[in-house]
Amino acid sequence: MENNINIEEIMAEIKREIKEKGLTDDMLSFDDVPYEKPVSVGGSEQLHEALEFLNANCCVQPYKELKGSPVSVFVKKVIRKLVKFYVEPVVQEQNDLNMNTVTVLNALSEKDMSEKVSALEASQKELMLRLDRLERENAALRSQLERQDRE
Amino acid sequence: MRIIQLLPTISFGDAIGNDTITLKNAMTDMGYETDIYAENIDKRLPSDTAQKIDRLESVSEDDVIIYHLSTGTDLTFSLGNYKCRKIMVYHNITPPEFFHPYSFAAEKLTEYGYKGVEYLRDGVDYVLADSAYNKAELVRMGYTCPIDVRPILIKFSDYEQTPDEAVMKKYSDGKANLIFVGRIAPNKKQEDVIRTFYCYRKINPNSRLILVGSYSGMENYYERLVKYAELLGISNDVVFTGHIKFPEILAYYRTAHAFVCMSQHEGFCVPLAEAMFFNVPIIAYDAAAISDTLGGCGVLLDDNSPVYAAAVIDRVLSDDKLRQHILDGQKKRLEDFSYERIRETFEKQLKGFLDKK
Repeated sequence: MENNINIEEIMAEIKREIKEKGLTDDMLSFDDVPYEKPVSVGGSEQLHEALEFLNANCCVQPYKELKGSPVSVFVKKVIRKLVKFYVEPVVQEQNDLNMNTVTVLNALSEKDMSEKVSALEASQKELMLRLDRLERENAALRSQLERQDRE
Repeated sequence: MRIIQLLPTISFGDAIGNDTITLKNAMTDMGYETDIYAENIDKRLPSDTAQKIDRLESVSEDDVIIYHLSTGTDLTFSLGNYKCRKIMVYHNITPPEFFHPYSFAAEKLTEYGYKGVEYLRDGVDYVLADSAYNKAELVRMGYTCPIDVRPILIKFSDYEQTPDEAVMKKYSDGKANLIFVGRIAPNKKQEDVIRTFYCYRKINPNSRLILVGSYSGMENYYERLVKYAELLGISNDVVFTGHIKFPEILAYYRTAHAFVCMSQHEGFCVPLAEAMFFNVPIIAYDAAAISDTLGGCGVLLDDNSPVYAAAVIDRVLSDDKLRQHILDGQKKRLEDFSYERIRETFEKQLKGFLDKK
């Protein structure tokens, strides 16, 4: 019984059948599946540190502690009073902008959000593959119909 | 003269641990004074199996060290301190690039492992490689000492144990069970097994894929595989067992209809021999040491196309004559891995080496 079976021949036959039927490996690629990259390779540790810094320092103060001799401190105080009307609203605006930026960055860096984005990207790629397949099927059906019409 | 086996870790139930213990028993039977020394000893092993390496004293020039190399460890670099003859048992190391996307630690460990292999190029007198593939790798790396091939010793008697009843019941439900056994690791290309199953499921919807193996240390690769199965819409029929008990592994083998291996790097691949033992037809992609271990049995795929692999699986499962032909071949090949056969080979190799002194 053993001598009647030629595995190589069977494999060649299977390959021929796949070719004849036009079967392909169309499916979502594993490369398109998002995953958590290791910390030391992806550089996300530095990213995390930077985000922490932004959270801690997003609000800037318009006034700093004045240093120097009593006379220079007095002069600086006078200047500060003189520019207050201009500096304070600008700093407030800048702080509003900083806080909103940090809120958005925090949300974008959240694992859930990045996973959702990656999953959406993956499903979009899968949809593109399906669309491509359907378009090809559609084209094949159209040409079949045209052939039938001609006959 | 003593024959001392050295290795960084001796684990309970793993292939290298079993090989080391079985070699010790074989050498004791041959009449040699022999012992195992390791840096880490699994507590589940009987207390007289191995001793801590710091207890190893006064190695004389007459002694022989058998060093098992399979990972990166400082032990490799301290081997030169022993002024005796050395045999290296090369179980192979997974190339670091496989781990690059997933684990910095594993990548560095395996890189260190390869540095160790290079370091021992002129530091050992004889090598026993698990497969011809492993031997070829050492030759490529510039080894000039004698190298012989000796397949790993597998304790098949352990497989006679009763399989887990719950697993047997759960998976004996009429579905075709495709399995792959091996830790979840990027070199084993479980994603290609999933791709193959995706195609096979279109041919036979009454089927499932069971990936047996621990994912410890490779959590992000595992999560990516789980996500992949979800995105392909087949997650209900893809089972990841994680780390399981031995009787459960036996049950998965016993309920399996085909063993599908798409691995791209193996130094031997013990699960192939296990599949032979459990009479499960093997369909495997021809890479690394796979063809050495199969030795002409099973079905070797020259292409890792999932459509092709799925069609071959379908043919094997639906063609009784072909399946029986494959199983007959596997049964015959299994004889080459019997304790008696490998012990005989090892005895000849060891005596040949010792006589050369």
